[in-house]
Amino acid sequence: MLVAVFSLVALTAHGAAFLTWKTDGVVHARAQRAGTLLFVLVAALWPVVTIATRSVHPEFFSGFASRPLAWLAAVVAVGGLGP
Amino acid sequence: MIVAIRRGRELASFLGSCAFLAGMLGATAAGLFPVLLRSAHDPSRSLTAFAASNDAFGLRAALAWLAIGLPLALGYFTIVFRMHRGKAVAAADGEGY
Repeated sequence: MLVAVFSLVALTAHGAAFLTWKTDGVVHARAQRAGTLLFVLVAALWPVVTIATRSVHPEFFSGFASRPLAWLAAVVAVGGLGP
Repeated sequence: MIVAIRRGRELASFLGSCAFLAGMLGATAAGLFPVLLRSAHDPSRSLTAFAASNDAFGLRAALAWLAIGLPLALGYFTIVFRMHRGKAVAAADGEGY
């Protein structure tokens, strides 16, 4: 359920970013406000979802240390959230 | 994404969001591999990439179709994004389509 909510928020934020990029005027302003709020929610929910996943499926992270592609993907995700 | 969207760097914000989603999906796939669908009752009965894959002939056929389909899909999206580049502009009469 938590992952579903996180996915919904992340994809809605993605849509808001697209609308902010492709529109102007009132729609642009509303999308920018919504996007800012949603991205803050994404940043807040991400560690919560990660910790919850770790507690439910600890084996999910067991292979991470030996998988460079997993680290690369995680760095890409953090980099995308950052700028 | 947060800083970019607030500062009006709209394309950077969108690309950051793309990178975030791709990174999340990639990290999940790389972390779970080779498991595709985890069995909640018995982990040994999980569906893995090796168990779910086709035989060698099927995989070669899929690769051949990918070599044809991927350039078509990339070309399609290139044309669509070029046709709709810039800001979307509403029609003068208010009709959106």
